[in-house]
Amino acid sequence: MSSEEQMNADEQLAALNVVQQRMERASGYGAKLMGVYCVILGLLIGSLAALLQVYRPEKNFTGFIILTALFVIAVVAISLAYAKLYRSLPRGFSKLYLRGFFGSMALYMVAVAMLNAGEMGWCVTALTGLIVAAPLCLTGIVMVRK
Amino acid sequence: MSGHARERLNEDFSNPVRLSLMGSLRAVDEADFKTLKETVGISDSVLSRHLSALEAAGYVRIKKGYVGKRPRTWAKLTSSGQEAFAQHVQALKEITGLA
Repeated sequence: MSSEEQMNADEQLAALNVVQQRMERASGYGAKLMGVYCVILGLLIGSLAALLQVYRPEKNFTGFIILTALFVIAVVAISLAYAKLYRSLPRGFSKLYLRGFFGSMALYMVAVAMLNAGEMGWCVTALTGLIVAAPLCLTGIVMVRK
Repeated sequence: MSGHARERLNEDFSNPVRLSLMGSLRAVDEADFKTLKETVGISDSVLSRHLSALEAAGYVRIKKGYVGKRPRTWAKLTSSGQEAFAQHVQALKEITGLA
């Protein structure tokens, strides 16, 4: 059949089924890629939140600047790598990502606000990092498993 | 819903390539040109022509950008495209007795 030939209703539905299955297979790669990106980004933001408790700007300004610069470089690097590999994304995954991202960012803001509360122990610091990373990491795991 | 399902079929999607493109894009938030080309199994020029027609009708949004120095094109359904295509598929299902 030519690509321009008209199809009846049955043929249209059958063609739709085939093409949607092909696209779902193709976008499976996009789902895994986005999932891995989310996990790495979540871990980076979580690490930053935890390390900011160690390298406090008022106590170790040089450490704070280096830490922030490394974080920016890492985020730019993974974002560029993602953009290079990105081909397609399953329906709804953009919203899922935004939910995870804003969740982690909101918790990161809370962690930054906690800097004023004074120094925290290692356990609390590590826990802070894990909690900040959780929304993005969980979103990433869900995406990879889908 | 009024009238026979045949009357609700959208002429813009009667072309097999456009139907396949709309069906492919319905499964994703966004897809690049190469993915669409491989999924539907058509040439660059045919894909370009039909995507432009769907964009002109307001069903598809096309975004052009660069990844490094390489140009890349992404396409996604607009909300009116999603709605129009959902109605078309519903009409097809009614005609074939699946709905």
